[in-house]
Amino acid sequence: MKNNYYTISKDNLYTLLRSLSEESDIYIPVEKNDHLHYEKFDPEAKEDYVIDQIRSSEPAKSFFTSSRERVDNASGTLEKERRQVLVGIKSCDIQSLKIQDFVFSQTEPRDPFYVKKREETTIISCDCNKLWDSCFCVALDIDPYPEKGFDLNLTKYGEDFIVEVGSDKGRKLVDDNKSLFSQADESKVKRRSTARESFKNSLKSQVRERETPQRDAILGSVKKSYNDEKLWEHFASTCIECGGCNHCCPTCHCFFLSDERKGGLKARYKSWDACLYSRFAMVAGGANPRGHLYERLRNRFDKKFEFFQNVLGIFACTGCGRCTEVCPGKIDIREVLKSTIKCK
Amino acid sequence: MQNPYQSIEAQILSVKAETPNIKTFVVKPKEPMGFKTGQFMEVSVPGLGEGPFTPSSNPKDASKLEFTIMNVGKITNILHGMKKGDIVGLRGPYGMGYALDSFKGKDIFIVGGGVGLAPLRSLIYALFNEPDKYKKIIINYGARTPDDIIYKDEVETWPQDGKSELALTVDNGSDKWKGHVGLVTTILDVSKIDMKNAVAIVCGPPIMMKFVTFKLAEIGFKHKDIYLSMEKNMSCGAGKCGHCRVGNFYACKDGPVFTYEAIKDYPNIWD
Repeated sequence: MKNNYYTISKDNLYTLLRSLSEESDIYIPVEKNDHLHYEKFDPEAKEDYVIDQIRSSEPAKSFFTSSRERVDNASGTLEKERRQVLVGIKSCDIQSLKIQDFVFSQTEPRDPFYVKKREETTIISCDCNKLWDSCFCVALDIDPYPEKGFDLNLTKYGEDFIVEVGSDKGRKLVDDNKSLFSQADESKVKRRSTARESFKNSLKSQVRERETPQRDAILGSVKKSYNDEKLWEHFASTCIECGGCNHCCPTCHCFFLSDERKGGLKARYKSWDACLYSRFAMVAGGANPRGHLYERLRNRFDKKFEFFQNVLGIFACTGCGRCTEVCPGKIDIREVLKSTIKCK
Repeated sequence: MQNPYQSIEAQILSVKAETPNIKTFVVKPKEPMGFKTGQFMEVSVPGLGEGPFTPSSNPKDASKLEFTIMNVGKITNILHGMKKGDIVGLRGPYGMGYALDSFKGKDIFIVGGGVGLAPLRSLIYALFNEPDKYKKIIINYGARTPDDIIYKDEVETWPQDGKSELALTVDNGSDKWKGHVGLVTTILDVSKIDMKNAVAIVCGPPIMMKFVTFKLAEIGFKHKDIYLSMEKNMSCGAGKCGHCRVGNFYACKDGPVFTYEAIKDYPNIWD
């Protein structure tokens, strides 16, 4: 156990990133308009990146599938793939990769573009120590700090970070840069647990105050709500079908394939799709299983809380709150779930 | 690792007009593409788009495939303008196909509507390939008008003494039409089959599937013995793109043939 914990000073961490940036693209959050956004790490820049705090506005999936990418064999995408390091990814996004991995790399046929990106990526995650009004991961039994799914995880500790090694890739990173890390003693690891508990408790109070339903209560509730059309019509009444909830969601994975001709080139593209769009399920003959907007909104919840629970045993929702935050119709995922759990 | 989004080129060997808006294309893929009856493929017009179609040919032949396609949208319209020698793309096969193993030793009651006879034709070939495995094969087929009947010459060869029978109907007759007039639900005669040991297989437009299923259930078919070909927006074919989900299933991966039992509780299955 003990061997997996280190400390690294802020200066040393940036030294490490500068060194890694020679052969990898490093993405790291910066603060803009009170939110965190990922930018490519600039080794020359002032060190005002924000590694800790809270999830970024971009979902982690955007580092593994592009909103639009070419996927035919002639694209050459696979050969061009560069190594990337993601710094400051938060627990909700780590959890979301379980869904993306299931879809694109664990079920046959595997998506070679996703698999390659995943292989070429190093994840240096970080615990949360700040919360948005929209955060509710703990209601879904997801902690605001990751236990698995990272190569290295950081916990802010004064100006330094406590480092946990989570994979062979992470182990190699520490071993190759030994001089930058110091072994963490047990008291530091203990203090990390205390800090984690205390932050988790503040999230728990937010969840309690807002009466956000817990995972156990949500289980099966969307299925029970199928026939309550009024409920879904009510929540869909302010939806403008922008697809924002789909695109910012870290677990939403749906895409469409399109073929294009440019000059003599015949290319196939894979682009993010959104199940709120009216033509999402429509077939060429015009039949549409979800012609009504309320049916599409219900479908989104069905996919997240029934389908993935049934096929994988987890919700395709990590409580990151991005959908609630971006929705111009002010549809709050927690309020929807508060209603579904009342359905008999 | 194979790229599941990449099509294989196939050359059109011939095109036959079945009805004013349905054509059958015989295509030869660059490399043999075997399929199980009921499985489908993504057929593309290079650089313009693709759509899911179930081969209507005999699954015994992997070197030459037939697709019977109705002109209903953008891609099918372009396909209808294509000629012998033109190149299309193929991906697949996808899905589970018909559960032939569960049909063994049973009476087979087939109900087709319109261009929905295309996948069923491949099934009929597969059943005829091994006639000893199945009992009676009753084929029911309904088209809108006599001109809309596909495989006109061929369907007449399907009835075989004691083994298979064919019942044809059209929604609207014509002066020359001497056969039955009425919806396909009006010709479903189960008097010659053993209902306790029979399966029904349905393929057609959604509205026809719905009423045929209700009728079959009313006649006495168990929900688990009614096999339905679900028409959904199947784009990737691999259970990833999300469009064709029906409850806990993807039509492209777990279907497109489902028993009524498996999907009856999900919303909007007939739309």
